[in-house]
Amino acid sequence: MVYYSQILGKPIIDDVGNKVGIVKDLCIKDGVRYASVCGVVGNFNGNAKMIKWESIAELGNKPNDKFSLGIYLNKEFSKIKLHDATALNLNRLLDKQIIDVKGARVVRVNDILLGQIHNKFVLIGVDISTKGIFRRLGISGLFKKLKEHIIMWKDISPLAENMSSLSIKVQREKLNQMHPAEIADLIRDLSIEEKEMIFNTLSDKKAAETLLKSQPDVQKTFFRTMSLKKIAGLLEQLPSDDSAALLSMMPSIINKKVLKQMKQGIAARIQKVMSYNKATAGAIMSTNFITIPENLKINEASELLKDELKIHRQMYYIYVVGDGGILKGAISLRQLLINDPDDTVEAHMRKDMIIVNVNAEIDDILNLMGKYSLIALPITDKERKIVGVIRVNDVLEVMLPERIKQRRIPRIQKRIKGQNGNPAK
Amino acid sequence: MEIRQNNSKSLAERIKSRMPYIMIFLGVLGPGIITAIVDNDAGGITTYSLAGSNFGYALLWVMIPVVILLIIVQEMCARLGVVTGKGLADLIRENFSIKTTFIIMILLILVNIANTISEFAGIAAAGEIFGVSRYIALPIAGIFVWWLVLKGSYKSVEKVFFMSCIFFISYIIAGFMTHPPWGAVSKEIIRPSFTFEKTYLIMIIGLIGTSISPWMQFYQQASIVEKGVKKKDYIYSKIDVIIGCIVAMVIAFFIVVATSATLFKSGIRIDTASDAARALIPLAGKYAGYLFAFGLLNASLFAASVLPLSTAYSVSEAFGWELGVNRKYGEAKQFYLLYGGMIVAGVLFVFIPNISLISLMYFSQVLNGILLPIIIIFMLKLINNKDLVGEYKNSRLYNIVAWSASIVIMAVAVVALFSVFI
Repeated sequence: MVYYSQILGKPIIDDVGNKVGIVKDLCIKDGVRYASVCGVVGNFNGNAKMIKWESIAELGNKPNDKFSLGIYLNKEFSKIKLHDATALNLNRLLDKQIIDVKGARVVRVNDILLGQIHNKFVLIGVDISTKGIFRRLGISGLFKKLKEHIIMWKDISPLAENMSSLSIKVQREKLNQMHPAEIADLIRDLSIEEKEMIFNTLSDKKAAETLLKSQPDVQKTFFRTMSLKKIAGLLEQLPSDDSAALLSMMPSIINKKVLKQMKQGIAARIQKVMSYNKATAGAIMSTNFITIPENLKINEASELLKDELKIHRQMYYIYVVGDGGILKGAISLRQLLINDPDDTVEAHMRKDMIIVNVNAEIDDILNLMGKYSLIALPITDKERKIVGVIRVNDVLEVMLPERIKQRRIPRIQKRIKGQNGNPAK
Repeated sequence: MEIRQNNSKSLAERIKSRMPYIMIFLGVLGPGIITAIVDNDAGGITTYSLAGSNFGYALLWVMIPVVILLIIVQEMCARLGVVTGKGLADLIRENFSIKTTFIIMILLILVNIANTISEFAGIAAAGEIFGVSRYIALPIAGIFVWWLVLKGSYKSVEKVFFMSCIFFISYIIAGFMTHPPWGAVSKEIIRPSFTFEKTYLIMIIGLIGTSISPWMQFYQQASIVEKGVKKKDYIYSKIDVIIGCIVAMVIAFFIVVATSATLFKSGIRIDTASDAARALIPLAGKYAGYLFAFGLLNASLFAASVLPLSTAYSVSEAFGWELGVNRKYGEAKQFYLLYGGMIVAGVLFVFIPNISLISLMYFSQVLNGILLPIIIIFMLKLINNKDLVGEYKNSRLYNIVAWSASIVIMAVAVVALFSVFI
């Protein structure tokens, strides 16, 4: 293994040990785990030319050689012309900011670590430590105690103009591993162009969720720069209460136009939420909830729910309704699992429960949920028809003071990641 | 009555139709004004007081070229910030070699430490006029500065800075309280009495030198980036810069007026800004002196908050360290060590008995003279880099203006550098 800074400006040596040129740059091709070195750009008697990776015999040091560090070539090497649009030059990566996907933050490339895997030369990772700076200044010997901090290529997503020479598919996969809140947190540090580029790399769903988690000024910037169609497409990916919250940040002329671009059913649901007063339950409640008729048996209900639960997440309770959607009771998933399948739902549901009108004030709801330790609170209209549910996670964000919202995600958590890398929301 | 009502209605409507622009302007406003006003720090006030007490109104005209030079430099760095969305340290790191970046950062740290010390010295001096011992005033100031950034978000810090800007009005009031002969003042501006005396020339250099310092470019650009000003709103940033520079110079103008109307007239010579405040008490009344001292306290405290923050921010940005605002200590150690280290250095240094603050000011002037030309050359290179700023690069005509202005500033910086050794 060798650092890029250690071979940059060092000799290129042919198979008989003669110096034929000087290392100016390296080219790499994007990959999931590693980026492979695809060529060496060298200065050969004043001419900049590239040598293909197949001609490289050794990268770094060769024992007992008079040049202690350099790039050693095979017997047959040929110089080719320079341009390759699909390759990324290391000089364009060095000193730039990149995204550390695993750490969910933006870091600066102080040096680059190269190595050899299965006879191919690869970029293993980048060094973001201060030691990397000292190494490049040639004074790392003075700071022996400092440690390198290598971020592996598989956890890196470069920024800025470099993106164009990389595989969008690979980059999207990498960025999609991050939680929307993490992406929102790290794009705060980036320029508007960089924000947009990351945003465009994300899948629609991830982009929509990221938008939701972003700071208000970032959200406003995006709304101003994106087309109405794109905004509509993103908002369709979100629960209607979240879409409504985002839409209400735009001037009313624009949000009407956006709503027109959306699928009718979704637009209607969002408009319904938007019609509620901002300080009331209607504005923060979720309209994703499951209702079942009261006369079902437990096993019938379970069958029915299997399909519903594939779409809906975070269902603590299933709401039981009578004629005209009047709320009769609630049954937990636990009750459905532990009771006799032939019993009726009605026999095991909770009939004695707290409900709140859709026009109740949010402050009172926070108080109520705290006092009664509720994890989900059904919201009804004046006919006692259920219209939404407020869950603990809905109120958490409302409760956070501005000061905490401004803060970054604290680095106190560890994440367990499976092969698919998608953490549970 | 009818007509008047109609008029007021149309005015209200006019304001209403302009409302979106006013809101954007208010959102963008800040970096330029704050940067320019912080520039009237302990060192600045001292220099202006010296100019007034030693030369009377004879140097007032210098304020006009200074404000033009300041606007040219600060406008370019505002433009860089808006167009690239990146800080100056970030741009230097990405566009010049790592050795260059490293040297600039080391110089920046040294200049800013020297400046921070002189701010704390200003706090100590102003405190003593109010009868507060420096052994009480400095630790409180240090803790306040640390707490300000640690406890607030950048947005709330900016609000505090804005408040602080308003207190600079105390200099304008103090200026009026000295009842200056406005006729003589305006005559000096229109037809300045220029001499080729050595001390006069050195004072001019001092005035220009104190008004343009390297931290200003870093701080202003960083706070513009932090605001996320969009390219199409750039015009508002430009207005922000211009207003800031003019207001800063108006304040400087009143300091010169206040000290020349009193100290120069009575032939009193001073060495520091706090001398000026003390000397004002018998001449212009207790309150004029106290206002002057209060202004010094406010300015020093304000600059003592900005300098360490700006340094830690720039250096962290250049070296790829985690930025500390909105992060906790453990997550951004280098940032906080640098930030805290500068505050501690500032406080402790002023505790040293019989320390010569004048030689410290000279020292910072030397470093300033080395660093400022480098920064300005790099800034000109960056603002003319088409790949970076595209259509926002300097026009040919503007480049001539910018280069001439920069050469003047650089020449002044270099002359100031050597004048220290003469």
